[in-house]
Formats: sequence, structure tokens, C-alpha cells
Amino acid sequence: MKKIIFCSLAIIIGFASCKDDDDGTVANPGEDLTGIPYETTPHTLAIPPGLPSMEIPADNPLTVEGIELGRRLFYDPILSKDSTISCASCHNLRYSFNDPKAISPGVGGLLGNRSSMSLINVGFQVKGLFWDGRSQTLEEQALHPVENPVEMAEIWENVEVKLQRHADYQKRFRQAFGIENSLEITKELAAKALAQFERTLISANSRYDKKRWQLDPNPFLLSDLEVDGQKIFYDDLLGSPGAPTGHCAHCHDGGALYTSEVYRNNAITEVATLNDFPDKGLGAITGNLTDNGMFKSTSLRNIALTAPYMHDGRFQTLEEVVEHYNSGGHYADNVVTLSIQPLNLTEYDKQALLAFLHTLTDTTYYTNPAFRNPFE
Amino acid sequence: MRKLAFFLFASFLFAACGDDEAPKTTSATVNLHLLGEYNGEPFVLFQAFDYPSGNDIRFQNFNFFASNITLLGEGTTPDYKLSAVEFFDFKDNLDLASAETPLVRNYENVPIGTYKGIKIDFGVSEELNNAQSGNLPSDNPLRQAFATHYWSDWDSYIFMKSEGIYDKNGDGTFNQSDQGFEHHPGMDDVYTSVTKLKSITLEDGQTFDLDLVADVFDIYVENGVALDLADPNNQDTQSLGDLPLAKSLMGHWATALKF
Repeated sequence: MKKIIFCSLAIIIGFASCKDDDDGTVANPGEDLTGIPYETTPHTLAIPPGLPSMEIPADNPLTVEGIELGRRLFYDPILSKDSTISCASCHNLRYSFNDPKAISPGVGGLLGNRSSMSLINVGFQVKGLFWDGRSQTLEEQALHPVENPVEMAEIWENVEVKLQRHADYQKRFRQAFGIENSLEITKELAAKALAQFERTLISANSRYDKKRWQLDPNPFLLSDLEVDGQKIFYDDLLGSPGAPTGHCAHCHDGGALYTSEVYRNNAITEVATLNDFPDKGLGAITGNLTDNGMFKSTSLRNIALTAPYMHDGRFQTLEEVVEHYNSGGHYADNVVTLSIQPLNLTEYDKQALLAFLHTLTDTTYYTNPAFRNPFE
Repeated sequence: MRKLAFFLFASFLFAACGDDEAPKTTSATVNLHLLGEYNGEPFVLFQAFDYPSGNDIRFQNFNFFASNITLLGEGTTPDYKLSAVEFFDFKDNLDLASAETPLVRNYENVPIGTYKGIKIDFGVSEELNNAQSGNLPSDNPLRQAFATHYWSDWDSYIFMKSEGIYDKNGDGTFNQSDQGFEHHPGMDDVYTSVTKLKSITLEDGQTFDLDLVADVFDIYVENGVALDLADPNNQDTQSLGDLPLAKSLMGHWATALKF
């Protein structure tokens, strides 16, 4: 009986090992990888009209191999403590790399206090990442969610071990970064690969892009209602007397970025003093009282796909957002009071503004096969 | 023939001795220091200042582009451009100590000589304003400020951002009933060149401190007459109709810049 059990176990283990070697699940840590060819293929980004140049760190040039590795890491729950949460859990391509939940649940269903942010055109951002701007580069940003107890709840040492003993990742880290031994797989290299993938998440093909950046000669790309909304969004250039203004672009311009990358108190929280914000946002990072309650202005590209809205996901619809700004919100000493004041928009104005916001939707973005889950 | 050989050898030795000497310095370093002030006082954001109307004013943001920062040559010394474009932002002026610390830019290898003054253009030059943003290197001030300062509807950078609130009702406090202002002049029409004459002598290997002051008070007050900030027409510079106000504010750099 013992022999039967032993033989059965041996066969099972042997089978499992073979299978693991085939699909890359388990391999020896400390594996010599020099037998795997290392020759990277440079990847050049095409920067569409209206977008600025993208800063690519000299020590992390884009390569086909690095981007593909980053895509796999992005979609792989291996980064989390119990293999349930990947980057894509909170940054779902279907929602323009955002989450329809106000607060994304982390490992064990734990909730933080902030909504996930869209990753659209994130590679162009130079004024800090996260709602509070605490990371300056994508490489630095990518390190945070793994060890956040309400996100992936893992520690990087464990992730490194998991990756080091994973045959497919051994091969891919070798191909992307030229490591010679699987023990050279580190969190820094994983972050570099994730950053490379994120730099490719470029969008510039909405209807408004086509009109504004003259990608399509059709003069009727936008309806009259949408054009009226555009004027409200940017504040009417001609300054016609009595023309409605939304003051939107003060925080959401930046050419085709549709974010000015500014940190603002957008008056959604009523406080008695600047000390009273339940989430201090930028102020928690800088320690400056006047930064309390300030959060980064997000890109409005694909905004129709990324509900709910605001740093805490409090608004379920764009209509609620427009109503908030039309009301003027709650005054505080650090509110830029010209932009955040009662706008007195009519129902038509609000409909026009909403219609314009929908012209910022780029359907080719969330259907781009290069951005999809490689494991499906 | 022997004499010729000796002459050549002596010449070689002479030349070699010359090579051993330290190369003669012909350049200096210029450190541009820019302090923000309000009517001669340190410019502190979120601090109430007296406005000529008798009411208070408080600023939340103040920054601007300066282009073609040039030392003006005198005599045989030609003009020398220190920088094509700089972005100055007083965002850290949140207390007195910070406000008393100047913004600094260092320029090395500046040709020595006597210069009669400086020229600074306030705004972004037409050439740079029309440059393709996709081609700017990442460390260029225009790239760094692209998202915050490029105004798509104008196809132009915002040259200066001055934002704050004016105590319209004069009750000594600031609240939602007061008048916010966001002055964001841009477009080529408001580009303003300012010259300040004052002799500058740069000597070999020396560092010269070019101490400048930007007095925000003078942006709003000309010859004792202050911009009426209670007038809603003066609260922003968003449309073409606001061009005269935008030109006026930018034109005031002639007095707002102190050297």
C-alpha cells in the first residue's frame, strides 16, 4: 500500500514538475539564465498631435520585451498576497483602466479611502502620480500598491521569490533586462517593466481629438450642442457678453491631455478650517496646511467611462459632477474662488457641457489588443 | 642647419612651457536671484496684503515665464543670452522664511566683460510658443509646465498666472462672497520686453550675483492707480475681450521687475 502511495505521489510530483516547467509555473530559484538569448527590440512611441513629449528614463528604455513583461505583471495577481488582486483589478481596461466601484476592494475585501485613477496617458504626467502626487515616476509608483495593506497586502520580498521561481518570468526578465540568474529578478526590475507597459497606454483618438488636432477633415464631427459645450468648457474665447463659462479647462487642459496636472481643492468637502479635511490629500504629503484637501486634477479623456468620480468616488454620474461645479461647492481658504463659484449654467448649458465631455471618449483605446489581458 | 635645428628645439620648449601654465579664464558665473515682493514686503502666499483701495488682497498662486534673459553688451562686449526660457514659480512662498529665499538660476561660462544691463522678455517668445510640444526635451521649462500652462483654446502658453481673492466687501475676511481673480495672460500679443540698465562687470573666474525682484504689487498698481478688482470685468483674462487687461498686466512688468 505504501509503495502504491509512494509511486502515485512520485508520478504526480513528476507530472506536476513537468507541467510546471512547460507552462512556467515553478522553476528552480537561482536558475542560470544565460542560455536564453538576450537581445532587446527597441520600441519607439509615436506621439500624437496635441500631446507633449514623454520622458523615458535613460535606465529604462522602452523595449518590446520589457513592455510585454510589464503587461503580464500588470494582469497577474501573483503580485498580491493571496493571488487575488492584480493591477488590472482596480485598473480595468473595459473602464479605461479604471474601476466602476467607488473604492476598489483589496485583498480580503479590505477598502481604502480613495477611488482608483485612470491610467490613460499616464506616461505623459510630470507633476506627480496618485491623487496626492506622492510618487514622481512610474517606476516609483509601481512599488506602492504591492505593499499597501488595503490593496495587494504583500511584501516585495515574497513577490521577488515568486517571480524568481517562475519559469516563464525567469525567461521574460532575462529577455527584457539581460539578467543572468533568476535571483537577479528584483522589485526594481518589475517596476521598470510595469512602467514600460504603462507608458504605452496612449490615447488620442476621440472625436474631439479628430476635430481639435485636425485628424479628420470632416467639419461636422461635433454637433452644435457639443460645440456649445466646448465653449463652456474652455470659456468662450470670444468672450461674448453673457456667455456661459464653466472654468473647466483651468484644471483640465494641457493640450490633448485634458488635465492641467494641478492640485486643487475642488470644494467637494465642507470643512470649518483647513485642518478638518478627513483626507488631507496633497497636504499629507507636503505638510503644508494650505495643501490640505487638494487632489490632482485627472484627465477628462474617456471620462464618460470612468464613473464614479472624485478622489473618493462620491459622484456616480457626470450629471452629478456638473451639478456640483454649477453649485460652487464649499468655500475654503485654499479654493481658487474664481473657478469654483456658482456658474449659473442653464439646463441647456449643462446638457451641452455633458455632450462635449462625451466627445472625449476614445473607443479605440479600450479595444486596443496591445492593452488586453495576455492570460485570456 | 644646426642653428635651425636649435631654433626649432628652443621654440618647442617655449611652446611646451606655455602649455604647462593654467589656461586663461575668460568666463564667469552668473547666479540669478529672484525675490518675490509685494510693495517691498516679502511676497507670502495666502497672506493678506493691503490693496490701494483700502481692502485686502490675498494671493494663492503666482508664476510666470521669462524668455531671452540677456546681458546687454557695452563697447566691445556683445550681448549674451543667459537663457532662452525660464519658469519662475513662487509656489513655495508659504511663510516668511521661504519668501525671503530667492529663486535661483545658475549660468556658467558667461563671457567676461562689462555689460550695461539686462533684458528680460516676460512670456514665451513667439518662436517657442509655436514650437511642437511633442519635440521638447523633458527638462525644458515649457515641457515641465505644458500641462499647467498650455491653453489649448489660444494655441499658446499662459505667460503668467496670478490667482487669489480680493476682499470685495471690505470686512477684513475672505469668503465666498468676495471676488476671486485668475489672471492668466497669454498669446503673442501680450509678450513684453523689459530692459533694466545697470552696469555689470564680469571678471575672470568670478561669480556675479544678479539680484532681481518681482514686485507683484506693481503688476496691479500703476502710478498709484490700482486695478479695480471689485469689477467683475477685471476678474480674469480668458477671452479676446480681456486682451487690453492682459496687455496692461503684462506691461506692468516694466516697473514690477526691480534691478
